[in-house]
Amino acid sequence: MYPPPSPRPWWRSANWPMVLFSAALLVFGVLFIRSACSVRVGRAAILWKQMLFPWIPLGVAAHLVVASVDYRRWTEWAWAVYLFAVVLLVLVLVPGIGTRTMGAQRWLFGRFQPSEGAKFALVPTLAFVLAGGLDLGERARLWLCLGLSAVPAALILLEPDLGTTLPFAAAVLAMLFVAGCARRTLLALVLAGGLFAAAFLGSILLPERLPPERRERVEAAVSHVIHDHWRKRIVAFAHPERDLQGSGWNAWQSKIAVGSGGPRGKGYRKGTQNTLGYLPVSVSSSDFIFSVIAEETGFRGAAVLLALFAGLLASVAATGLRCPDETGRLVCTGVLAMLFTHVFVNLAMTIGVMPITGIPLPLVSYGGTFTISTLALLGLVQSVALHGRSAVPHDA
Amino acid sequence: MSRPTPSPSAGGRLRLGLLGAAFLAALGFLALRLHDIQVRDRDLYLGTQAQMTLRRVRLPATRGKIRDRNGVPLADNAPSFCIALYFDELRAPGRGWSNTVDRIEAQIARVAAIVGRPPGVSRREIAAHLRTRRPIPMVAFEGLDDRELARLAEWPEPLAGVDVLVRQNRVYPYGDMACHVIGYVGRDVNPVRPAPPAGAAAPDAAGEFGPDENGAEDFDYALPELVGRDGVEKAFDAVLAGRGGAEVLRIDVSGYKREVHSAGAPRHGSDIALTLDKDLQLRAEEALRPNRGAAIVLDARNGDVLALASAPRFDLSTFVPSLPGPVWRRLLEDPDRPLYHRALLGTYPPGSVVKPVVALTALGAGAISPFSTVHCDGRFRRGGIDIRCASRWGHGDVDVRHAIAASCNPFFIECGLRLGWAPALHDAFEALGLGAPPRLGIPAAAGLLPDSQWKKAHTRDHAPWTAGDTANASIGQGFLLASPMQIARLALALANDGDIVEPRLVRDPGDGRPRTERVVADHVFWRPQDLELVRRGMVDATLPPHGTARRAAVPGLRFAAKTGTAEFDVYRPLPGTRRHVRERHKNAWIIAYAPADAPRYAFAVLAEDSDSGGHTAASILRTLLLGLFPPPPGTEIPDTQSPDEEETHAESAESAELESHAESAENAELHSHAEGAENAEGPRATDDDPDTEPVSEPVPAIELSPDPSSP
Repeated sequence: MYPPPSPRPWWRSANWPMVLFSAALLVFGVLFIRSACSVRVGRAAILWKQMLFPWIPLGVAAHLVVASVDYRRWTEWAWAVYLFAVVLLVLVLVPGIGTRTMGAQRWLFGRFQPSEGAKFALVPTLAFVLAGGLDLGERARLWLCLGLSAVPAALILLEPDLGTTLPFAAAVLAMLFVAGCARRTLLALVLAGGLFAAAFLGSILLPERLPPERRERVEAAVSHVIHDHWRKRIVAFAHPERDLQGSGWNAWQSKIAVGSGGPRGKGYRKGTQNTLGYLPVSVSSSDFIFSVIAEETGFRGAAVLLALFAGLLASVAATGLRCPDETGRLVCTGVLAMLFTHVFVNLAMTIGVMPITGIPLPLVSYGGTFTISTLALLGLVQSVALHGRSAVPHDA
Repeated sequence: MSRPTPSPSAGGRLRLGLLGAAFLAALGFLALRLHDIQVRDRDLYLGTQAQMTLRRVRLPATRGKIRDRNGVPLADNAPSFCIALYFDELRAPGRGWSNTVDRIEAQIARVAAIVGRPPGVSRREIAAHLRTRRPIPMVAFEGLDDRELARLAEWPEPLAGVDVLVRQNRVYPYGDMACHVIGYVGRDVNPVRPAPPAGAAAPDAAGEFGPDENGAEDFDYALPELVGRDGVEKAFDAVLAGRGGAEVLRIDVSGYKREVHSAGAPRHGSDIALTLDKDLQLRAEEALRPNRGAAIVLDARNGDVLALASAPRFDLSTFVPSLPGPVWRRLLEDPDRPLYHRALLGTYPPGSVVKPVVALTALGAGAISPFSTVHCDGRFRRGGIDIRCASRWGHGDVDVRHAIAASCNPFFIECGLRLGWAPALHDAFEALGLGAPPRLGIPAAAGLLPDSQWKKAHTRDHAPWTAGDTANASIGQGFLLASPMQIARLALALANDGDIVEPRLVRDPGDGRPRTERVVADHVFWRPQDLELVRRGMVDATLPPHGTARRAAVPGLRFAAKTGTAEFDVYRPLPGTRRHVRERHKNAWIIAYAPADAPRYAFAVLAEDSDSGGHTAASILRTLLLGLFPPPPGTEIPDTQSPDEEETHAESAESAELESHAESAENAELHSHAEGAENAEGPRATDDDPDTEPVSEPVPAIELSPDPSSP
């Protein structure tokens, strides 16, 4: 069915740079999760140990398992993974099964996030469809792809978790682009997304300019559709000075942390924003881990971190570029887009370029399911690297 | 290496490459933003963070001591042990602050049980401290004694957030001694002080935590500090206070203290040394008892103020740590006005003590000769002037020497009238410092040296200066007012043959270099032979049987003295009517220097509202002289205090009967005082004025002593 294994040994085909960049980022992560948690007490103080065990070992195991299986097999069986993930996403919304924390229902069995599973399921599924795995016309394929990504995204929106849908959207757009989808279609999609975003922002920010009596009515109507904490975050981003003590607090304190780090930083475990509690301890080890890094290592450390991410993305892209078949390339594209979205959105919100959207920094932030899913996604790329080469002589 | 695959694949590669490049470019954009924030705008964020997390706390410096000339501390510091609670160790989880307040309250109650005192602070105070001064400790118990401290120290369990803190309290070891000079302190959280003297203000290199670029020090919290409120404590407050240190606290997001950085240790205040001599001061104060008044002893050689006694006094130790309100009110309402510093701020008609100056001026100007005589028949009558002499039967023909010894009024009125008030007499008095405040470093009254302009401005009918005014001024009466210190300065000039030596109260103003030199500010030219003549007259005054100051005599000591008894009227409102009654009062003066030939000390004594200079004031002077010039052992000290019928009679009449003065005084309109209108019928009665402020403005009539007849 698949071309026979390449005569080259596996360790020569593997994407070692990707492994090295990932490992470096994981080390960064563990070190600064430790720093971020140093002021916490009890179980929260040892989050970094939980990263060392079990999350990173589990993630590495997932990476190895995924990488050892040919990516084409993953894409063929992706529908099963996809269905499983969707079932879990439905389950998490069922009261009593999903765990509710901070106003959202995101966790299964206390610590498993099915949205992460959906990320892993979506990329091979889309790759399978776009690479022509099903005998469909161009248009049908397009709609199928949009539908396949809309289902998990909609379920995640219901949790509600706006931020996590962004990588899904990015992945599907990127994969459509690389698969050679008509430019008009893509443009239409981007425009639609833009319109949606504009409607979203406009319905939050524009009512403020209305006269008071109409404003109340409009705001009441909007509040049925848009969650209050989204509204607050958007307002806090548009008018940061308005409520620094309240909804704008995290963004403002994060920016102070980054800025006060200066070129050289304040030293490991000496970041005052974190140790004095201005950066809330509940987020400093996950969504705002970059603030801690930037404050303690300064621009030097932050630039190193950015370079590591650039290296990681480049190594993922390199595998995709080298891959002889479209399936592998599309898998790499999806992983690349997802990783990039996480990195960009997370860093951008930390330094005040984007509104706060609670998505973590891959491999660096604390998070069990997230670490496993990220390493598993990288496992797909590794699989492309390991198994994709063998196709070359065969095709030729 | 793989070779490029045919077209679809190549297009896919290209697009993936584009995508990857776009992603890297986006990361590059983030890197630029990051550079802006971290490198370009770093100071902005650091500043914001400092404002958010740093709190400057002012630490009080230890206050300098006030010592006497021999180093004996007159104002000292003593540690006071307090128990303080550190809230950051007592915080309790929970919404709001009530759990934390509960915990602090419980801890205070526990400490209270251990030391055996009722809790010193209320729940409200705890909550207020938690709200406004969270990072700094709260003092819950003050002034613990040894036993209470021991109980706390021996408590076996650890007490979270509880610690002993030492505060400095002011101590005045000699109670009421020199209380007006020393002054007292109060506690202030945020004292406003003038900038410290130049040269002392080198800013500390405190780096990040130092004063801001404007040099202004912004403290978020200040611990209460001692601030001088009166006397030397107030006048030299900046020197005594030193410079507060600073501590910078880093607070966490809940506002509790997390770290402490020192930003400059307090610079302790410098000690001030006064020229006072503790023993002499005590003796002078003892001698004044039970009179109201002042006694001043100056070192005749350099002007050092050795004793500056004022009576009555108040006990400085009641001002520490804080003065109870009722005590303060009692001091303010006391008819004897113990808060009033009579020696420097009281102004009185000087009376006959100015006569030696009148004589010297007249001799110097040739208005009289050493042999001129004036016939005294007990009264001086000329024109509208009718002034009684001390001797009801007259002194007969008197020359200068005799006139000084006997304090003959007609003689000096004659001198004064021949000289004229302005410029001759006026300028002579002015040169001696009448009408100008002594520069002692603490506030002192200027008294009043009137002239025709002054009289015009301050009398109801803008009356011109008259011969009667000159006659009154020649014998130290009329409008003339002087403080005891000004009169002491006059005695000092007589002792120094016309050198005007400025009295000195502060020996060391805080720089560690004692001032001992003789500073001659000015010189009044008096001819040596005239000085000798006047000196003889003043020595004669101390000799029995007729010298007016003979009651001050000390065996074996030849000294020069001049008594004075200034009369003044107090117009007291009659209750229930609009009428006033005139009451005649007398202030007794004496000035002296001793020994007469090589003066070592100069004296001025004032006893308010007493019989005469020859009695009350002379016996006070005698006590002082006996202390300074103890007679050889075995000498019999005659009891000069016993009343002597004949002499008493003569003495009591020493004062002038001031017909013309009374007239002028009744005309005096008190423009300088708003409340003057109430007393428009006569000289101002200040005994209804509870104010303790210095009477620094000229007041035309009399320094009014508190009314002796009021309950």
